[in-house]
Amino acid sequence: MKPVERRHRQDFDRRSLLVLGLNGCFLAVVAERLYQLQILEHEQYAARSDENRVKLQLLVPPRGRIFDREGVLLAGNRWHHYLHVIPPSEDEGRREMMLRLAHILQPSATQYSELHEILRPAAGDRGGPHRLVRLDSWEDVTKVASHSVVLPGVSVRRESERHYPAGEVLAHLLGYVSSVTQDDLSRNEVLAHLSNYQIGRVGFERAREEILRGKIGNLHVEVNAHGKPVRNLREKKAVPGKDLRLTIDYRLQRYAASLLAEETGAAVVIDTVGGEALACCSSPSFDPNLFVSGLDQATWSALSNSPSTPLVDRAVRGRYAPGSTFKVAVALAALEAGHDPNTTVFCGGVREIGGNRFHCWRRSGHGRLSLMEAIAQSCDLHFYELALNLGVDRIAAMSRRLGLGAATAVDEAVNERAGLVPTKAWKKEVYRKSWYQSDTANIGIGQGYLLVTPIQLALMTARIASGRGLAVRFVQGVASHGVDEGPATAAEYGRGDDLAGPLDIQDSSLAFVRDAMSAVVNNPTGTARDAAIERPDFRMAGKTGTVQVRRITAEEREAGVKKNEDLPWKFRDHALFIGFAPIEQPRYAVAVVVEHGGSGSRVAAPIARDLLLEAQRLGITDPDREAGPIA
Amino acid sequence: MSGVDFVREVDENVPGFRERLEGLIQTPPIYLLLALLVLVSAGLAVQFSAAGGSGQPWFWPHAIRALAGCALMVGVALVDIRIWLRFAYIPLALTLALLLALEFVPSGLAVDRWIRIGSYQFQPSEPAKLALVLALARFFHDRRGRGGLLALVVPGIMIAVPAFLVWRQPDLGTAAAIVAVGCVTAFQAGLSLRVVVAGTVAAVGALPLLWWFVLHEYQRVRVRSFLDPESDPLGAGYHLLQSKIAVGSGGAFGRGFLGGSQTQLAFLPEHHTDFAFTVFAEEFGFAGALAMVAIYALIIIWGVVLAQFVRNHFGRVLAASITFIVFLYAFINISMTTGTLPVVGYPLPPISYGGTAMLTLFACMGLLLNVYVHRDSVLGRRNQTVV
Repeated sequence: MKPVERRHRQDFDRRSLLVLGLNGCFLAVVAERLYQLQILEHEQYAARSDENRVKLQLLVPPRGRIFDREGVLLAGNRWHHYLHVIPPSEDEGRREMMLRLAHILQPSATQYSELHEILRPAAGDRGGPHRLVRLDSWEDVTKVASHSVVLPGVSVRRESERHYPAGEVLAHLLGYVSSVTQDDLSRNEVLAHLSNYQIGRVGFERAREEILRGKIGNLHVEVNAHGKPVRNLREKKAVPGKDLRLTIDYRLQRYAASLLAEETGAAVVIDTVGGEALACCSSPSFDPNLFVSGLDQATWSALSNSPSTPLVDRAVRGRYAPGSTFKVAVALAALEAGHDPNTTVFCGGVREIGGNRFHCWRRSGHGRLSLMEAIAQSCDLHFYELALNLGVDRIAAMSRRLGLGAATAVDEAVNERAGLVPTKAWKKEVYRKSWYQSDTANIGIGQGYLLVTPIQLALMTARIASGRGLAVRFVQGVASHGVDEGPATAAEYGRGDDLAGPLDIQDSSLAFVRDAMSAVVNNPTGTARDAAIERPDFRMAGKTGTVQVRRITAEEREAGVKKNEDLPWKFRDHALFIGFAPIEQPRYAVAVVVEHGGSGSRVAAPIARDLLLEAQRLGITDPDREAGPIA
Repeated sequence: MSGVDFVREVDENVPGFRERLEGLIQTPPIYLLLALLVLVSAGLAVQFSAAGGSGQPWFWPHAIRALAGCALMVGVALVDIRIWLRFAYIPLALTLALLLALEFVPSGLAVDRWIRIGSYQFQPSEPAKLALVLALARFFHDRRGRGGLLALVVPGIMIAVPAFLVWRQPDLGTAAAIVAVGCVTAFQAGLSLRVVVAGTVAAVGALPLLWWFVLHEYQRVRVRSFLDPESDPLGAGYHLLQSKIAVGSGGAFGRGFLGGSQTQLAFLPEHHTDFAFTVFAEEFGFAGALAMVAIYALIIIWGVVLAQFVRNHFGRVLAASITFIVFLYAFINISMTTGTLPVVGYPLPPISYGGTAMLTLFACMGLLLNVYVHRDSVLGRRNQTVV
């Protein structure tokens, strides 16, 4: 080889080996990089890979249903079918899917625009799946299902929606569900992951949310890059919510609603044996179904700003002066304090107490009346006298024993208000004023500071009728998967039972008051004689109440008190009635309040009578009825 | 000019066809062929997996191309090296013609970097690298030991023209690769050291100009997203991020064949072409990926070692430069899929799906075998009369 050639060759060898060395270094860098990604940072990338492919899907179980005591559905679930679409990522694919869906479904204008929003070519790749139009007919559902081959990424899914067949009849007690708000999310983060979940708002829907909701399950789904599910990885099954059975009888409830339909007021019927609420009606009412699908602003403000406040449950939250219905409590307090019922008091129509003139409702006066007659004829002067002799604190103690002034006897779900049973100490604390004789006299006829709710009046009546320290219960039991789980326990489903105890009132006193209440209805001189039940086996006892809602001035009295019918509606008296039947072995107690209804005897008493008769006709709580066929 | 250089050189020791065939059969370069077999197998596995465990649409065409590639390789290997030497400029001329055609042909026939003939597509920028190596090898074979301006200007033009046309397509990755292949070939073939040093300095100085005047906006976006891929995970950095997740999640021994979720669930884009290595790394892990890098390294080492024993300059330069082409495939593609280089769209034959790159690789291997067969031949300069 020539020297020149050898030099070229040495040059080449050096340079090619240099290049090889450099290449080796580069490949070492590549290997080092692989080591870094696959060994050192493996955990991190493995996690991100799983993040890519595994999506968590929450499974919401069907919400527990609510039934009445006879198994009538009060709150249930309706199933709807929705079109779920994963839009194709290419413009052309979306256009084609839009055309096919439009052809298959023949959508309405709103449905079309809903589809168009996601599937128009300019929409871009939105991922998915998106919940689009609701399929209202079974025909549409089958059409989509049978075209599934030409509609990749389109599926039909079932979703439940709360439904209240009872509608306005039982709105307040049941409450309703509505979409989750920001406020709910701050309390429970899980809700954020539940699309379209609806949460209980008021009443039992809210108080028993946990029981009705069941346990939310989850599903780990492997999805591909287009969000399309490939397979299920693991599943934690959802546990359906439990069904709730209330003590309410839907038929009686509906009847109460119909009786009060034209009125503003409340009616409560409870069973005097078990303390179960059979009807608990407030009027006017609203349709809870409106809240499920979302209220528009106009409907909402109409409901919430209406002067007749349909959203308020008057039966448990309406606070009224009990008026003359309270006289039974004053009489009991007097008898328990050793008052002789045969003592007579003269009623001349008016007397002076603490510098004020106190009138009887009958301006001409009742003359001399015993306690029995005073209750039957509802003489005010007699009760001024009794109250003044007793003092307010003894009356307050008896009121509390009868269930007034405290909400606690009732299930927390009912969200009852406590009312107000005033005492000397209470006035001192709140008004920083002394208690006056005139205050006591007002309490004696159920007016003044005293405030009670209709359900408290019903409970008071039931306690007098039964002679036991009953409490009102609303829940009979729960059932899961349709299987009855037995009676509700106090701890789990309400706290009514805990408070049932001895009434601690002498039987003789109770018997006397029951007789007096019978006289109210059944004596020719009784205030509610027109509402008497003329059946020997189901006679009613009760007490009327007519409550002034404004002060009658001295001048007006001079000019002659106007009749209720001549006054504007909002100045008319409230009409009240409490009652129970049958007298010998009481089964049902009732309280009725009709706002601005006028006279208790003429307006409230007939409603109470009809409710008692209906309860009897239906045979609610009748132990013998089980043998016969269920109507 | 000294008198010594005018002595007419003669070719010696060139084997006849029968000897070439016997040489290839009796002493085959067993390591090279085994390495190639393993790579082709890996490529077929990736194509099968990328289709979700199906022979269609990529596995079978890939296999047929591999067979065609083998035939091409043997054919190229058995041709007399003097024919390659004689016609060494022709492939570059043809390539330039095709690249120019892409510039001017109406867009119906040629789109971007592809020429379409019937249902076949052809990407002339791929064989451009090999054609350039052939031409430069011939040029420096003839001019070895001679300096002068011509030795700088002619290779410069041979490198710059195809690189420019490919950049215009626009395909920055391949254009850069053409420049790299050209420069390394010229360097190994005997470019004067002064030119090498001056060229390096000029190249470093030109980088800012390159950024502002040569790169297209979309290329700048890619480079930026390469520097900070997490900033825009669904935009320009999406490909790279998904590729890194796939490679990283492979771990030491991989997710198993057909078990890579990034591949199988389509999170990895372009998984059968530019990101084919990622598929392999996800399913076969660090062990598999490292083995693949090692096999590429084996081919490269084999080629450079061969070059040391070749007795003709043409063959030496060819062997060393062809292995550099192979090195570039492996280095650019794997660096791109693992995030050490920007995503430039550079294939990895024979793993990636794509006929042009596959056939280019086999043509490279064929020439390497050809040099192996002719390693003892001595070849004279071809243009002695011109000089």
